[in-house]
Amino acid sequence: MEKRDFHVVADTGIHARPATLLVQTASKFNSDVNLEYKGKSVNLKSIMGVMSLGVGQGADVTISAEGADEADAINAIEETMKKEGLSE
Amino acid sequence: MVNKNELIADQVLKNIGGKSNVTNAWHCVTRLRFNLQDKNLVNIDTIKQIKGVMGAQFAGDQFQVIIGNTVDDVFEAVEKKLGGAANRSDDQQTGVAKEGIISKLMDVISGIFTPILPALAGTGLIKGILALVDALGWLSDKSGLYQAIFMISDCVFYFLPFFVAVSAAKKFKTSEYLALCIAGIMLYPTMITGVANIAKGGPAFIKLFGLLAIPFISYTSSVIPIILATWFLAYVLKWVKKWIPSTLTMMFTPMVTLFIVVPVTLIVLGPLGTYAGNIVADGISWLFVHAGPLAGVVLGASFPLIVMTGMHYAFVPIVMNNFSVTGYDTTVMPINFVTNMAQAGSVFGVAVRTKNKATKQLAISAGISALLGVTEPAMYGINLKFKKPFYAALISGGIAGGISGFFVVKAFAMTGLTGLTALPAFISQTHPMNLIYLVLAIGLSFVLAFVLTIVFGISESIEESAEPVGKVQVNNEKAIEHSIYAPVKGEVELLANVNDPTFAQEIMGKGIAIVPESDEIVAPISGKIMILPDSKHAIGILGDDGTELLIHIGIDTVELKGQYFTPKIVVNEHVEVGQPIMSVDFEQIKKAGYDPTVMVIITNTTSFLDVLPMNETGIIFPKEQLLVGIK
Repeated sequence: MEKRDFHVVADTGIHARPATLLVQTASKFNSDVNLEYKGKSVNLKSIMGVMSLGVGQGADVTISAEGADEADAINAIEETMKKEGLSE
Repeated sequence: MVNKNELIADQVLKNIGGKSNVTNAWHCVTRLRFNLQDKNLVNIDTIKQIKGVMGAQFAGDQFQVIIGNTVDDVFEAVEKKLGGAANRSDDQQTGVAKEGIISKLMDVISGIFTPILPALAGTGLIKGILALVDALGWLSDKSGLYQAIFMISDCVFYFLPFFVAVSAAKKFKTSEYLALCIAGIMLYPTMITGVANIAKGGPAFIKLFGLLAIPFISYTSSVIPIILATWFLAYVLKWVKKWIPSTLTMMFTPMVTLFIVVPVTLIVLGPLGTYAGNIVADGISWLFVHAGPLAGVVLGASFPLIVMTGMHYAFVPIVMNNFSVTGYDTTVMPINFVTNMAQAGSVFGVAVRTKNKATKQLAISAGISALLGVTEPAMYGINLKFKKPFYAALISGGIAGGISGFFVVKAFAMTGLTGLTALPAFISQTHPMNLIYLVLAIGLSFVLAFVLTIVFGISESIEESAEPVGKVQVNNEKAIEHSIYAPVKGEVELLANVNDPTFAQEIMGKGIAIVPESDEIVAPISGKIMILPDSKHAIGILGDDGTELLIHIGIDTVELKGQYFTPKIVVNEHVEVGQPIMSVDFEQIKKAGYDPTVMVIITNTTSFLDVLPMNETGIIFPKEQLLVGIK
């Protein structure tokens, strides 16, 4: 299993648009991808799941991937996080 | 290892007549879409059995294979096998059929008439029977009963533009109500009395600014003018919406649109048919004088087309003149009789050929109406749709028309309908053979059209497309529909028109937008509130039926950080459809410079076969059905 922590810096947190982009990225991989925030873990392939966490500015989240392409998945997600200005 | 998607692609291509039969291929979110050279090569039932295929259907001249959320990958495999023929775009317009203009026009007309048919077939039959009892002398046309029944029988025909307006607006994806408005103007008493007054020496038109003229034209029963007008409306409305500021759109868009569409309709599009009709009518009456049989062939083969365009009104003065000069008519009356019987022959041919019970029933009732002189249900409902029967009717009408012209068949009286009840109008003491010639012509016309239709055959694949448009025909009979209701009062808009690419490109999922006209947001489905961010501009609901729904209020309103939003629910609360969940001060939001459009998105679109809006335009009220998701 691959795990990585992120510190969310975007003003508006992970709202509709970035959530969608993260879900799109995660959905490209076969691995199970989860997002953990405040002790709650959701499937990163579900827009509803990601948005239900209400991740705001300054939040610390952990993203984990488990499966054959777990390393690629985590790297791709990190790239999306940075590209969208969600984290540094 | 054989790739699963390649396997599906192989099987689909094999069963649509091979790649040489594909003229164009593209895909949308759930379906492979094909334009094919020959629809008859499709084994629709085999395709539905392919593993990985959820359903298949014809929609107009497209063949669609429903794949679901892996359509992208399957299409890639299809594309590879097709080579250059495929089209990656998911824009429907790029798949415009390569069929001829006439054939396309026939598709449009029959598509527009399909929803009107029940009304048309029902009243058509009454109209025919009424003509019969009148001809037999059982009921005087002066009696109250006759007049009451006549009203029932004639209303759809008289007000046909209204019916066509609604269907055409749906077909061209524009506002039904504005289309109805145009139909209403065409049939407004000013126009109707204007036409009636021309005969009494009144003016032939309304003058505008001393140079433009709106001619008084009888648009009752006309079809093409309102179709043209609605088609034009679709473009104008889209264009006007583009540049009118969204805060003014409610008030000004319809007004500006009507001020453009109505004059163009009344001055140009509507009269077009009538002017063309005058030219055609003059030409054909000249031909009748100089070459009767040839004129019969020409008019017999073209009369249904002339009727469709409304040009036949131009023949009325010629017929009237014939009666007053010679006491009989050799032109429109006998030829119309011949062509009506050809339509009847064709439609009975369809009744014999079809395997579809509903089509058979409709064809028989349309055939009876046609025999009695009411051909609209047969022509628009059946013959045009299957095309070949319509061509059979044109050929037979032409040949039999020629015979009528050769024997100079005469009508000695004007009758309302030219069906079997009009036979007495052809009886004359001085011309004893006249009736026999006529019966020869109409008999030949009927039999020839009937036989030709049976020989030409009807394409059963077209019959598949006779299923109501918009309903997805799914492999699994137990396709479940999930309804989503409107969360707010306002004007429905397609997601594609929303000013935010995340929503417009359906990246989050399929759905629809509403331009709000009320501040209260209610729950569109029953379920649990999953999302209510601090910014309060969005609400996520996990439906009791598994639908994941996001209501996004306004564009970029996340930046308001909760200002002007007053939620009435908390996360994890269970809500019922119609329960108020949020109050929004849209006035303030607009003042703050934000677009207030409310988006309703099914975020788990991929677990549905398809998500379809109930209406693509118009005002919707809370709790009215907004979207339907099909699983």
